[in-house]
Amino acid sequence: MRQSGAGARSAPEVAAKAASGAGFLERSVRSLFLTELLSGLAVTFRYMWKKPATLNYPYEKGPLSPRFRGEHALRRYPNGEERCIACKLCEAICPAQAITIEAEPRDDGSRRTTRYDIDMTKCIYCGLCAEACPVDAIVEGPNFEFAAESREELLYNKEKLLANGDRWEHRIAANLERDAPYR
Amino acid sequence: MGLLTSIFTWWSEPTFAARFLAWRRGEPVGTDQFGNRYFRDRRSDRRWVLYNGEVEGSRVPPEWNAWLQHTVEEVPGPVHRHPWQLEHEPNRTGSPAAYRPPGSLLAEGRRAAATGDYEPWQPG
Repeated sequence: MRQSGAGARSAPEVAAKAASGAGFLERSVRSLFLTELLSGLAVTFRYMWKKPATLNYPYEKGPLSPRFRGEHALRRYPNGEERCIACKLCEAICPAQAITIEAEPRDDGSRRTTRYDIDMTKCIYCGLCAEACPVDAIVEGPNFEFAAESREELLYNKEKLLANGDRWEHRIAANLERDAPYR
Repeated sequence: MGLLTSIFTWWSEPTFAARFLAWRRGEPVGTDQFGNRYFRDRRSDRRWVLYNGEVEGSRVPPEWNAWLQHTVEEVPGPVHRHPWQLEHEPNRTGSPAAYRPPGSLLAEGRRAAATGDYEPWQPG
Protein backbone atom coordinates (compact mmCIF):
# COMPACT_ATOMS: atom_id res chain seq x y z
CA MET A 1 0.00 0.00 0.00
CA ARG A 2 1.43 3.35 -1.03
CA GLN A 3 1.70 6.25 1.35
CA SER A 4 -0.25 9.29 0.16
CA GLY A 5 1.85 11.69 2.24
CA ALA A 6 4.53 11.69 4.90
CA GLY A 7 2.29 12.91 7.73
CA ALA A 8 -0.82 10.98 6.77
CA ARG A 9 -0.03 7.62 8.32
CA SER A 10 -2.86 6.34 10.54
CA ALA A 11 -2.25 4.88 13.96
CA PRO A 12 -2.85 1.22 12.96
CA GLU A 13 -0.37 1.60 10.11
CA VAL A 14 2.26 2.98 12.45
CA ALA A 15 1.64 0.18 14.92
CA ALA A 16 1.86 -2.41 12.19
CA LYS A 17 5.11 -0.95 10.93
CA ALA A 18 6.59 -0.85 14.44
CA ALA A 19 5.53 -4.43 15.06
CA SER A 20 7.07 -5.65 11.80
CA GLY A 21 10.42 -4.17 12.83
CA ALA A 22 10.56 -1.72 9.94
CA GLY A 23 10.84 1.21 12.35
CA PHE A 24 13.84 -0.25 14.14
CA LEU A 25 15.94 2.89 13.82
CA GLU A 26 13.09 5.10 14.90
CA ARG A 27 12.38 2.97 17.96
CA SER A 28 16.05 2.86 18.95
CA VAL A 29 16.36 6.62 18.78
CA ARG A 30 13.20 7.06 20.79
CA SER A 31 14.34 4.78 23.59
CA LEU A 32 17.92 6.14 23.56
CA PHE A 33 16.90 9.80 23.91
CA LEU A 34 13.86 9.13 26.18
CA THR A 35 11.63 11.23 23.95
CA GLU A 36 8.42 9.76 25.42
CA LEU A 37 9.53 10.74 28.91
CA LEU A 38 10.25 14.26 27.69
CA SER A 39 6.95 14.63 25.86
CA GLY A 40 5.18 13.48 29.02
CA LEU A 41 7.11 16.02 31.07
CA ALA A 42 6.17 18.67 28.53
CA VAL A 43 2.51 18.04 29.34
CA THR A 44 3.27 18.41 33.04
CA PHE A 45 5.13 21.63 32.34
CA ARG A 46 2.27 23.06 30.29
CA TYR A 47 -0.16 22.42 33.14
CA MET A 48 2.10 24.33 35.53
CA TRP A 49 1.06 27.53 33.74
CA LYS A 50 -2.65 26.79 33.61
CA LYS A 51 -5.14 28.03 36.15
CA PRO A 52 -5.52 25.42 38.93
CA ALA A 53 -8.85 23.62 38.94
CA THR A 54 -8.79 23.22 42.73
CA LEU A 55 -10.45 25.30 45.44
CA ASN A 56 -8.92 26.25 48.76
CA TYR A 57 -11.90 24.67 50.48
CA PRO A 58 -12.45 25.96 53.99
CA TYR A 59 -11.69 29.47 52.73
CA GLU A 60 -13.34 29.13 49.35
CA LYS A 61 -16.41 27.13 48.41
CA GLY A 62 -17.64 25.88 45.08
CA PRO A 63 -20.75 27.25 43.36
CA LEU A 64 -24.03 25.88 44.70
CA SER A 65 -27.39 25.81 42.94
CA PRO A 66 -30.55 26.95 44.77
CA ARG A 67 -31.84 23.47 43.97
CA PHE A 68 -29.07 21.76 45.89
CA ARG A 69 -30.37 18.90 48.02
CA GLY A 70 -28.47 18.80 51.27
CA GLU A 71 -29.37 18.39 54.92
CA HIS A 72 -33.08 18.13 55.71
CA ALA A 73 -35.03 20.70 57.66
CA LEU A 74 -38.60 21.06 58.89
CA ARG A 75 -39.96 24.55 58.30
CA ARG A 76 -42.39 26.74 60.17
CA TYR A 77 -44.99 29.27 59.12
CA PRO A 78 -44.03 32.92 59.74
CA ASN A 79 -46.10 32.87 62.95
CA GLY A 80 -43.95 30.04 64.31
CA GLU A 81 -46.43 27.22 63.80
CA GLU A 82 -44.80 24.10 62.38
CA ARG A 83 -45.90 23.33 58.86
CA CYS A 84 -45.91 19.56 58.96
CA ILE A 85 -49.44 18.14 59.13
CA ALA A 86 -48.38 14.49 59.34
CA CYS A 87 -49.87 13.47 55.99
CA LYS A 88 -47.03 10.95 55.67
CA LEU A 89 -46.61 11.49 51.92
CA CYS A 90 -42.85 11.88 52.39
CA GLU A 91 -42.73 8.66 54.37
CA ALA A 92 -44.66 6.87 51.63
CA ILE A 93 -42.57 8.17 48.74
CA CYS A 94 -39.15 7.77 50.36
CA PRO A 95 -37.35 5.17 48.20
CA ALA A 96 -34.91 4.38 51.00
CA GLN A 97 -37.64 4.24 53.67
CA ALA A 98 -35.57 6.58 55.79
CA ILE A 99 -38.49 8.52 57.28
CA THR A 100 -40.59 7.40 60.25
CA ILE A 101 -43.61 9.42 61.27
CA GLU A 102 -46.12 9.00 64.04
CA ALA A 103 -48.95 11.41 64.58
CA GLU A 104 -51.87 12.20 66.79
CA PRO A 105 -54.22 15.17 67.25
CA ARG A 106 -52.84 17.92 69.42
CA ASP A 107 -54.72 19.50 72.32
CA ASP A 108 -56.14 22.20 70.03
CA GLY A 109 -57.41 19.52 67.66
CA SER A 110 -54.86 20.01 64.86
CA ARG A 111 -53.07 16.97 63.54
CA ARG A 112 -49.32 17.07 64.14
CA THR A 113 -46.46 14.62 64.27
CA THR A 114 -45.33 13.21 67.58
CA ARG A 115 -42.35 11.56 65.96
CA TYR A 116 -40.55 12.59 62.80
CA ASP A 117 -37.33 10.67 62.38
CA ILE A 118 -35.04 10.69 59.36
CA ASP A 119 -32.24 8.20 59.22
CA MET A 120 -29.65 10.27 57.36
CA THR A 121 -27.53 7.17 56.83
CA LYS A 122 -30.35 5.61 54.78
CA CYS A 123 -31.27 8.80 52.94
CA ILE A 124 -30.14 8.93 49.31
CA TYR A 125 -30.80 12.69 48.98
CA CYS A 126 -33.16 12.26 46.05
CA GLY A 127 -35.41 15.12 47.17
CA LEU A 128 -38.65 13.20 46.67
CA CYS A 129 -39.80 14.02 50.23
CA ALA A 130 -39.56 17.74 49.46
CA GLU A 131 -41.37 17.20 46.14
CA ALA A 132 -44.16 15.25 47.82
CA CYS A 133 -44.74 17.67 50.68
CA PRO A 134 -47.99 19.62 50.14
CA VAL A 135 -47.12 22.35 52.67
CA ASP A 136 -43.37 22.76 51.97
CA ALA A 137 -42.62 21.52 55.46
CA ILE A 138 -39.83 19.03 54.81
CA VAL A 139 -37.15 20.48 52.56
CA GLU A 140 -33.61 19.62 51.68
CA GLY A 141 -31.61 22.70 52.56
CA PRO A 142 -28.32 23.93 51.17
CA ASN A 143 -26.19 22.66 54.05
CA PHE A 144 -23.80 19.84 53.25
CA GLU A 145 -21.39 20.36 56.13
CA PHE A 146 -23.10 18.05 58.61
CA ALA A 147 -20.66 15.15 58.57
CA ALA A 148 -20.59 13.43 61.95
CA GLU A 149 -18.12 11.34 63.89
CA SER A 150 -20.59 8.69 64.93
CA ARG A 151 -23.49 7.01 63.21
CA GLU A 152 -26.06 7.86 65.86
CA GLU A 153 -25.54 11.57 65.26
CA LEU A 154 -27.12 11.05 61.85
CA LEU A 155 -30.36 9.62 63.23
CA TYR A 156 -32.26 12.90 63.19
CA ASN A 157 -35.41 13.40 65.22
CA LYS A 158 -38.10 16.04 64.93
CA GLU A 159 -36.42 18.44 67.32
CA LYS A 160 -33.19 18.41 65.34
CA LEU A 161 -35.01 18.86 62.02
CA LEU A 162 -37.02 21.79 63.35
CA ALA A 163 -33.84 23.37 64.73
CA ASN A 164 -32.25 23.02 61.28
CA GLY A 165 -35.23 24.81 59.81
CA ASP A 166 -35.05 27.56 62.41
CA ARG A 167 -31.37 28.14 61.61
CA TRP A 168 -31.56 27.94 57.82
CA GLU A 169 -35.03 29.44 57.18
CA HIS A 170 -33.80 32.52 55.33
CA ARG A 171 -31.62 30.58 52.97
CA ILE A 172 -34.24 27.89 52.37
CA ALA A 173 -37.00 30.44 51.68
CA ALA A 174 -34.72 32.39 49.32
CA ASN A 175 -33.77 29.20 47.45
CA LEU A 176 -37.41 28.13 47.08
CA GLU A 177 -38.27 31.57 45.75
CA ARG A 178 -35.45 31.46 43.22
CA ASP A 179 -36.48 28.03 42.01
CA ALA A 180 -40.23 28.79 41.88
CA PRO A 181 -40.26 30.09 38.24
CA TYR A 182 -39.03 26.72 37.01
CA ARG A 183 -41.73 24.66 38.72
CA MET B 1 -3.59 32.45 69.14
CA GLY B 2 0.16 32.30 69.28
CA LEU B 3 2.68 32.69 66.51
CA LEU B 4 3.59 29.01 66.67
CA THR B 5 0.07 27.76 66.00
CA SER B 6 -0.31 30.09 63.04
CA ILE B 7 2.93 28.78 61.56
CA PHE B 8 2.59 25.07 62.24
CA THR B 9 -1.15 24.44 62.12
CA TRP B 10 -3.71 25.09 59.43
CA TRP B 11 -6.88 24.46 61.45
CA SER B 12 -6.68 26.76 64.45
CA GLU B 13 -6.66 30.02 62.49
CA PRO B 14 -6.14 31.20 58.89
CA THR B 15 -2.69 30.36 57.56
CA PHE B 16 -0.16 32.97 56.54
CA ALA B 17 -0.73 32.09 52.90
CA ALA B 18 -4.47 32.78 53.24
CA ARG B 19 -3.83 36.07 55.03
CA PHE B 20 -1.24 37.10 52.45
CA LEU B 21 -3.63 36.35 49.59
CA ALA B 22 -6.35 38.40 51.25
CA TRP B 23 -3.98 41.31 51.75
CA ARG B 24 -2.45 41.14 48.28
CA ARG B 25 -5.47 40.44 46.09
CA GLY B 26 -8.53 40.66 48.28
CA GLU B 27 -11.08 43.41 48.38
CA PRO B 28 -12.88 43.38 51.77
CA VAL B 29 -16.59 42.79 51.35
CA GLY B 30 -17.89 42.53 54.86
CA THR B 31 -17.87 40.87 58.24
CA ASP B 32 -20.50 38.57 59.70
CA GLN B 33 -21.83 38.41 63.25
CA PHE B 34 -19.09 35.96 64.27
CA GLY B 35 -16.22 38.13 63.06
CA ASN B 36 -15.41 36.12 59.92
CA ARG B 37 -14.13 38.47 57.23
CA TYR B 38 -15.14 38.07 53.59
CA PHE B 39 -13.11 39.01 50.53
CA ARG B 40 -13.56 39.21 46.80
CA ASP B 41 -10.67 38.82 44.39
CA ARG B 42 -9.80 42.08 42.65
CA ARG B 43 -8.92 40.33 39.40
CA SER B 44 -11.29 37.36 39.17
CA ASP B 45 -14.57 36.03 40.47
CA ARG B 46 -13.09 34.19 43.44
CA ARG B 47 -14.59 34.78 46.87
CA TRP B 48 -13.15 33.67 50.15
CA VAL B 49 -13.43 34.00 53.90
CA LEU B 50 -10.86 34.50 56.63
CA TYR B 51 -12.20 32.73 59.70
CA ASN B 52 -12.13 34.37 63.06
CA GLY B 53 -10.53 31.43 64.85
CA GLU B 54 -10.91 27.82 63.85
CA VAL B 55 -10.83 27.15 60.09
CA GLU B 56 -14.02 25.14 59.69
CA GLY B 57 -16.38 25.40 56.73
CA SER B 58 -19.59 25.11 58.75
CA ARG B 59 -18.79 28.24 60.76
CA VAL B 60 -20.04 30.45 57.93
CA PRO B 61 -23.65 31.57 58.66
CA PRO B 62 -26.31 30.72 56.02
CA GLU B 63 -26.66 34.21 54.52
CA TRP B 64 -22.94 34.60 53.94
CA ASN B 65 -22.68 31.00 52.83
CA ALA B 66 -25.04 31.84 49.96
CA TRP B 67 -22.73 34.63 48.87
CA LEU B 68 -19.59 32.55 49.34
CA GLN B 69 -21.04 29.70 47.29
CA HIS B 70 -21.97 32.05 44.41
CA THR B 71 -25.68 31.29 44.92
CA VAL B 72 -26.42 35.02 45.24
CA GLU B 73 -24.49 37.95 43.81
CA GLU B 74 -25.44 40.65 46.30
CA VAL B 75 -23.64 40.91 49.62
CA PRO B 76 -25.98 39.92 52.47
CA GLY B 77 -27.24 42.81 54.53
CA PRO B 78 -29.17 42.86 57.79
CA VAL B 79 -32.19 40.57 57.54
CA HIS B 80 -35.52 40.61 59.30
CA ARG B 81 -35.71 37.60 61.59
CA HIS B 82 -38.78 35.90 62.91
CA PRO B 83 -38.64 35.60 66.70
CA TRP B 84 -38.55 31.80 66.46
CA GLN B 85 -35.47 31.74 64.26
CA LEU B 86 -32.25 30.55 65.86
CA GLU B 87 -28.70 31.77 65.54
CA HIS B 88 -26.42 29.79 63.25
CA GLU B 89 -24.42 27.02 64.86
CA PRO B 90 -21.39 25.29 63.36
CA ASN B 91 -21.16 21.53 63.09
CA ARG B 92 -20.72 20.36 66.68
CA THR B 93 -19.67 16.79 66.00
CA GLY B 94 -16.79 15.56 68.14
CA SER B 95 -17.60 17.97 70.95
CA PRO B 96 -19.79 17.48 74.04
CA ALA B 97 -22.41 19.72 72.40
CA ALA B 98 -22.87 17.29 69.48
CA TYR B 99 -26.40 16.23 68.62
CA ARG B 100 -27.42 12.93 70.17
CA PRO B 101 -30.75 11.28 69.46
CA PRO B 102 -32.82 10.39 72.52
CA GLY B 103 -31.87 6.92 73.61
CA SER B 104 -28.19 7.42 72.86
CA LEU B 105 -25.81 6.10 75.53
CA LEU B 106 -24.18 9.54 75.56
CA ALA B 107 -27.42 11.44 76.06
CA GLU B 108 -30.12 11.75 78.64
CA GLY B 109 -33.55 10.33 78.05
CA ARG B 110 -35.06 7.32 76.38
CA ARG B 111 -36.21 6.80 72.86
CA ALA B 112 -39.97 6.95 72.75
CA ALA B 113 -41.56 3.56 72.17
CA ALA B 114 -43.34 2.99 68.88
CA THR B 115 -47.05 3.62 69.25
CA GLY B 116 -48.36 0.66 67.37
CA ASP B 117 -48.75 1.42 63.67
CA TYR B 118 -45.44 -0.35 63.19
CA GLU B 119 -44.68 -3.96 63.88
CA PRO B 120 -41.02 -4.19 64.80
CA TRP B 121 -39.01 -6.85 63.05
CA GLN B 122 -37.98 -9.68 65.36
CA PRO B 123 -34.82 -11.62 64.61
CA GLY B 124 -35.10 -15.38 64.29
